[in-house]
Amino acid sequence: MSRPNMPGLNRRDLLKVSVGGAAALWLSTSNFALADSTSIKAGWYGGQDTHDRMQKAIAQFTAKNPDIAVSVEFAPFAEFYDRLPVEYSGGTAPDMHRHSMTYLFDYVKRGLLADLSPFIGKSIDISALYPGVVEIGKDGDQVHAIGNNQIAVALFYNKAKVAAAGSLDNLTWDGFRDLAIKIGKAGGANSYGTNDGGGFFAFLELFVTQRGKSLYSGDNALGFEPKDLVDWLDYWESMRKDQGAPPPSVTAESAGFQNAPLVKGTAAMQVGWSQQIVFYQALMQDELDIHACPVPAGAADNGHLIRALDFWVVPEGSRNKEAAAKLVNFLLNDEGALATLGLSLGGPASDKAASVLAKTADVPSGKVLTYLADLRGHAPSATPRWISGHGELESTLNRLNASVGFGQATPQAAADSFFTEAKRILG
Amino acid sequence: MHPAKPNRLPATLLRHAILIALAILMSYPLLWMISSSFKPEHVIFSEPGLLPDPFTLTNYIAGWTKLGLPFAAFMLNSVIICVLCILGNLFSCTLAAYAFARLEFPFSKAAFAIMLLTIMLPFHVTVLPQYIMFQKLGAVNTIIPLVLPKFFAVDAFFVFLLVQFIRGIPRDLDQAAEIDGTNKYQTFWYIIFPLCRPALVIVAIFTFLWTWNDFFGQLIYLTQTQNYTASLALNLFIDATSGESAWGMLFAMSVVTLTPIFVLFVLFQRQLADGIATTGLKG
Repeated sequence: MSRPNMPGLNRRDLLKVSVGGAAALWLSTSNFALADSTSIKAGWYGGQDTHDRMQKAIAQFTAKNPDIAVSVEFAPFAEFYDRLPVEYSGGTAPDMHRHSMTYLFDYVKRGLLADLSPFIGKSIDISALYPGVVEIGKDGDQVHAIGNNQIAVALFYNKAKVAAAGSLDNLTWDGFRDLAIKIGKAGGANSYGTNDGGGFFAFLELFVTQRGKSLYSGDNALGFEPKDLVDWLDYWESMRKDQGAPPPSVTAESAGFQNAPLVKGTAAMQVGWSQQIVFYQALMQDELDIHACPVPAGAADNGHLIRALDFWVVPEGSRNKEAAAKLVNFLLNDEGALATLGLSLGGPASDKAASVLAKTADVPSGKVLTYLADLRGHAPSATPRWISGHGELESTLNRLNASVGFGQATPQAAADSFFTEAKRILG
Repeated sequence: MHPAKPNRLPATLLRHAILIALAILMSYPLLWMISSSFKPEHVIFSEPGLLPDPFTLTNYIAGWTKLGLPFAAFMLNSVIICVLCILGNLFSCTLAAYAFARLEFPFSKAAFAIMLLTIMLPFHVTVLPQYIMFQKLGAVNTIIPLVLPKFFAVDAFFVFLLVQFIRGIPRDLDQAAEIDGTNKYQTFWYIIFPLCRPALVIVAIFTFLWTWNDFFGQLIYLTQTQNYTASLALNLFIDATSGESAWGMLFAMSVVTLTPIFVLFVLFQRQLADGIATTGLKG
């Protein structure tokens, strides 16, 4: 019997195939890391509009600094923060990137961010920035992050609907509730005055600030009393009871700008971050306007804080901190870059940025700029930080506000459990 | 006289009506997405109806180029990765399975058990060490980390599947080949590999599906837009925090992305069913 005479694979051929295949793959990609001292990577999160504007601004930077090559990476917020920790551990984090206050202090705590103070006054000019923009990222003498925007909590409203029911002049908390209930009842069933703001942590911050307190005291404790939270939860329960605000079942389905009661026409007011009026307006026909939030009757201080919420940072592991610092400076101070970026990163961080933006702003953006400018006259320049654990506390408040709405907890019980959880989270 | 045949028609009609109604109910989300992809952005969430009115193709036309590159470029990236992964899995998993099923070598039982253990290990546990390794090799931001492992039989699930299948092939065939003078590799190449066809179809199709739909691995390893795959590109259309989401374009490009999978299922429906039946794969 003869050996089958077929062209077969023997051991050696197989080895060739596997090694050759792997090598071919390797070579075909031809992406070797260049140890070029003047190439940096910039990273940010946002939507497509932000991506377009940032890439344009970076092109402006490289046109003026031909010796620095900038590569970019970007993703939506959630995915950006999925990828970032992996990159930090692998040493491939961008040489400068956008960082949100929600996570900033976790990174500062672990020593992952470079101290930018050696560059300040040299490569990075902070003289034009508003007070607080740099201070909020400071840790003793070290500056780990420089704010690139300033934003504040605001009340957006449907002009026609609010005018039909009353006015927002000298808005107090009681007046806000009366107006919301009036609008809600006037619209019949399934109509409400405002969205349910009880779970919005920054709105609670405003409420306690008006009482002369703050969200946090020091690095691991809350700065307000259970009584304040009980009053807050009580207030929103009274809103929900009389159609001032939607029941929690409706609120649960209203996540995302496109589902907000304001956009769907089931409410006339919405509390949010100042620049969001632009997003809401884009989804609506009726004209929106912006107003400061309610204050206690006879209060001297309206409690509104205005501060940087997003930052530019440079990782400690970056090999080109100097070039990265130059890019940070360019994005903060160059008039061309400021005009290109517009409001995509948030409200302006300096008068210079504000005046550049005022020239190009559309109607809703103009309203944001005016609102922030007015607010800046009153707001304290010291801007309290959100400490590590803030994100978890925010979702806790949201959950407890909903359980009060569903009748599963009294405001008192909800406030108690918030303080118990806060101890664990901040501990 | 035969007794009159009972009239089955009403029962059949009823059964079909129920099945069709259920099918429509199940596919409603898909139909909704397809319908929304033809609606202008501002009516997507305010008009719940399935018939797009007004009807528009803007989402497809604008979405195709919205991300700076034509969407085909991202689809091509996905296809390249998928094809290489399929080749890798077909090549390496069958060889590994053949070794486990037919050859006796030291510690083969222990090695098999260890391999099964890796099925339990979630990707997120190994992602950091793996990332650091590929970073040291300078392979981050290339497709190597996504494709190369497939040539080393890392998909233990497929190895296991093929081992079970090969064990079902009568050893008589191997022995007959051996008598004809084949060595182990030739037995594999001429006897086992062709007989594994139903299982190989399953391996190929599932590798395609899992790679095409993968998100996390691609997100971690591919950071530059020109390397993005279809699933990463789709993700760029929505950002929950900034309100800059382009839902219409997202739905339009999702339909485009789903089309290859849909075609694949239609073409390979029979092999898929056969494969699932013969390999004992369920779920």
